[in-house]
Amino acid sequence: MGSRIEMGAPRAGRTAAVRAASPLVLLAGVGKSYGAMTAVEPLDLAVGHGEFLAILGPSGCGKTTLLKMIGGFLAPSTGTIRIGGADVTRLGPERRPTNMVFQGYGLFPHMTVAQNVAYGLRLQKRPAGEVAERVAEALRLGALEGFDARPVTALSGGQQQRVAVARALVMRPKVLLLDEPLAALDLKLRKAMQEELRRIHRSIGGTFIFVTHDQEEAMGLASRIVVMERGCIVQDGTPEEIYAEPKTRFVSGFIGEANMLPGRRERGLVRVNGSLCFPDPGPDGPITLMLRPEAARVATGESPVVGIDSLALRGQVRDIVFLGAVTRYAIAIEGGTLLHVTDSDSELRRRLEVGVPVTVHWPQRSHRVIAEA
Amino acid sequence: MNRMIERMQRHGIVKLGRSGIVRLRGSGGITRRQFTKGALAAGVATSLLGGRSARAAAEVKFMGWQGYEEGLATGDVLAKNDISINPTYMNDNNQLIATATGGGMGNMDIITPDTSYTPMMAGIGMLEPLDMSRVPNFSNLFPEFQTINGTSLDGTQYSLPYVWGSIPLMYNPAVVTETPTSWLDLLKPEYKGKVALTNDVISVMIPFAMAATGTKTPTRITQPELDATIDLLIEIKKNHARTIASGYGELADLFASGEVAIAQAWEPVAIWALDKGAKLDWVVPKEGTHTLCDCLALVTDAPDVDASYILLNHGLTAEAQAHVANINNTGVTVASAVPLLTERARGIYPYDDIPGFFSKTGGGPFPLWPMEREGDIVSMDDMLNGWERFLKA
Amino acid sequence: MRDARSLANLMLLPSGLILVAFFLLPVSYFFVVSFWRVRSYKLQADATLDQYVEVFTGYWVPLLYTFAVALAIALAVTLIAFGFAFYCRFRAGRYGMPLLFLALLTLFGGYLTKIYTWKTILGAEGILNSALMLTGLTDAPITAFLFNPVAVVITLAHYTLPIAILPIFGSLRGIDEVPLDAARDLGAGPCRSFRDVVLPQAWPGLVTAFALTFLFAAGDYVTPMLVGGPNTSMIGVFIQSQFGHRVDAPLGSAMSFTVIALSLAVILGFAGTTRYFTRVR
Repeated sequence: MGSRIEMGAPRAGRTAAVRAASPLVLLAGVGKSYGAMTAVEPLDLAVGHGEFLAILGPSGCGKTTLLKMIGGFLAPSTGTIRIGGADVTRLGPERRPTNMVFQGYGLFPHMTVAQNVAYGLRLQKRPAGEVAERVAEALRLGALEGFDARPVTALSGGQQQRVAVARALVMRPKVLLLDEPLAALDLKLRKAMQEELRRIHRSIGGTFIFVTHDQEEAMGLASRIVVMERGCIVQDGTPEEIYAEPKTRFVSGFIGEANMLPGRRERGLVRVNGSLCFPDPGPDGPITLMLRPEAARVATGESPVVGIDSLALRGQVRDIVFLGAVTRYAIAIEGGTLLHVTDSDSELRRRLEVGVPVTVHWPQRSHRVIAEA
Repeated sequence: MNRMIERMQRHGIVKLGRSGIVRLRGSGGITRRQFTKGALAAGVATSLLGGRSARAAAEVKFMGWQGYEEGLATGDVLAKNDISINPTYMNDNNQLIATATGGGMGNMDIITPDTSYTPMMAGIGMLEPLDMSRVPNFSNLFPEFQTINGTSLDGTQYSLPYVWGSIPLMYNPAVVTETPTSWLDLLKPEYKGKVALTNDVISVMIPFAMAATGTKTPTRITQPELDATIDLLIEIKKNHARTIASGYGELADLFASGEVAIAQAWEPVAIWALDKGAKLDWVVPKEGTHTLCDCLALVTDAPDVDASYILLNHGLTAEAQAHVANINNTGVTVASAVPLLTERARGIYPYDDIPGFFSKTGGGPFPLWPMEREGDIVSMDDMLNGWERFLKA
Repeated sequence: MRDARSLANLMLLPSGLILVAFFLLPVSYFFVVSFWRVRSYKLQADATLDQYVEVFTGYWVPLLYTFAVALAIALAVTLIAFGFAFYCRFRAGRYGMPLLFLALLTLFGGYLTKIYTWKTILGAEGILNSALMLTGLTDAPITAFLFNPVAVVITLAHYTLPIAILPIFGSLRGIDEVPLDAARDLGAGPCRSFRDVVLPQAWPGLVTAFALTFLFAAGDYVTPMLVGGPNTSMIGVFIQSQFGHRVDAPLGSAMSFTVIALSLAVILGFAGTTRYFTRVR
């Protein structure tokens, strides 16, 4: 219990402090509905200077709508949006101190890389010298030196992505918005671009808000994650908090892999899968026990050694999948439910095979009991 | 052969388009539908009878104005003689020359050239001299048509007058209350903007040459006379005309829609306009005008001479003549056909005094302009140069 | 690889042959003939520019008139077609495609039918005049609607409009909407993003539409004949007359190639001018 708090406390505390001091972006009661259909329920959100915020959720959860309202592409049905203290609710994107990296990038296909990047500055009628200087700087930041004169249509997906980022950053926005920035890239490029984005964020120290449906991307990039479901924010916290302490079944299922075991709590006693019973204070009612695959251990033999505060379930190995660094075991526990456990112990892998009876055990602090509404 | 083509090129230069781009019978409201129906029926008959009609003893290949072939098929002439007609429709007289000399001879039987073209066509050898003993109905023709200009060359008969008409001055009496007497009445200020001409070269050039110069031989004029004619036409076009109609069908529409009240026209225009609700009158102006006469002729090396003669002769029967005139609002060349005409068709042409009519128009069909200049007399090409000047002005 | 290429070439051969036999050869023939002359109705091989001199001295009025009318039509039609296509593509939402289909539907119905329809509308007893008189705006029919160059422009514009809409819509459809948002995001108002993003990408479609319309109008002479009144003789009338009445293929060919060359110049001029105004700055 204690270690959990230690893990999240400093980050959470700092974020809270920043929010309280001077939120850069402040959404108050912002919602969007189309007739009877509500895309985003009225919600509040504060984003501090220097944050790298991920808005995470499945498609149709309202995350892109939220981002477009921040960018000014959609007018909210309710609420106000403030950026840097100024009310921008009624302003179009051209008059907001935000810039966006669009899904699919939205590069101007009839322009070269440099023309794309310079476009916004030209509109501001900046002196030619300044434009050239800032474009060169942005291209350097995007590792695009030497690409100035290339038509953007001749670039690879990753290069186009960097042009889109450079085109937005050259405007020195107060907030950089990114709409599914990596969705169109293949896995390898995605990893590289994640690093690239982190590097850029570090080097300019700006405020980034990005939208993604990919929890790995959110975990890998963001300093803070807002999880959305059906137009509502269901959890808001650091990646560690969200991973370790998902507030709802939806969040736990959405963030990382998780085993879900249904059960009930009565008078502070939780019962799961018939045989498992342990104390856990909270209101009576149905619960879900969430257990990360890497949090559990597999033991063999008649009387395995488990920790004092550990819980254990007996079962039988059904499937073994070697994933490289770890091996994943599918274990059928009593009642037939499959539990997934990952383990990096190669000794264990040699001892196990399909059909072997095993015990799955885990320390109590590494599962989560989530009360069902 | 080369020489013939060369001559053909020299001669085949005139487009006698009474129709312009819109061939008229369509505008008359009668035939396009009829034609389609007929073609359909023929097709059905052919398939039903297992192509019996196609295997008729003789198939006469006809190329002429649409509707003219119907006269040749009246009564039981086809059935009795086991003949079928395979028609192709022409757009102008040049097309006949081009088709006949371009491989048509030996594959075509009957064509319908204009009188003014017959001597030229005979001259280049594309027409068969007619054996008049096989056309006994020739004697049915009004005497004026038996001796009409242009059906014979060097005393040999090459074509048979089949259909006729003229180019009168037509007007809407509701607007033009004073009966016009001269082509120059088109210049009257009160008709300004209500005048039309057609783009039918010959039918414009002949009457307006007569009007501009007083000539009695409008296709035999000098350059100054030609210039005077063109100047007159330009004056009409620039200062009086509402438009130049692309054909007589369009002219009828223009009359019917009230755009035009007085114009150089062709008799059937009055009938078509009447069908569209405009009652028109027409006169032969005192200067005279163009008379046109379409004939039947036999193409050199016609594959089916015997059947063709049967049809040529049949074309001069009262029955055939009346049918063509009734559907096309054209004139008959055979006196005995007049009683068979509908009242309307009979009323168009002055059958009781054809000689008088011809003397009013100036003597019946005129020959074409000479192919080469003859002294002071301008050639066809000069005339066409003048026409272009008119168009350009 | 080589085999695949030679196979592809082989498959192109028939269409290539058709192009050569039915287009290139005849056109080259008439090009050669345009330097010949006709003497007493007979073609004579020569190498003279007389025909071209004659075109410019004898026919410059209809030539000029033709190009003025064609230019007016092409400009008007390209503009209207662009407006319509733009509306269909960016403003009409799901009604865009039905609207476009409706416009293309007007391609059905013959060319002459449309001309006569316009005569019916613009004529003295036409719909327009009847309406004006019925509403008491005028007490006599206005004859100025029909039989003048404006009627030619209206009629041909109506005829060529769907033909012009297609290529423009094609180029507009290829425009991604995201860059439009991006332009706004970077500070461009609607006008700027239209000029900087839409126009440059629509440019090929605009030029195609202009070229199609211009060539159609410059080559047409039936419409002027039917609705243009007495003083509208397009060059096509004279070209037809050279080949038809006059048996003067050299002059007719010279006229044709003059029209082709001048049309090309006009189209290139349009393309260059519009390119200049839509270039990336």
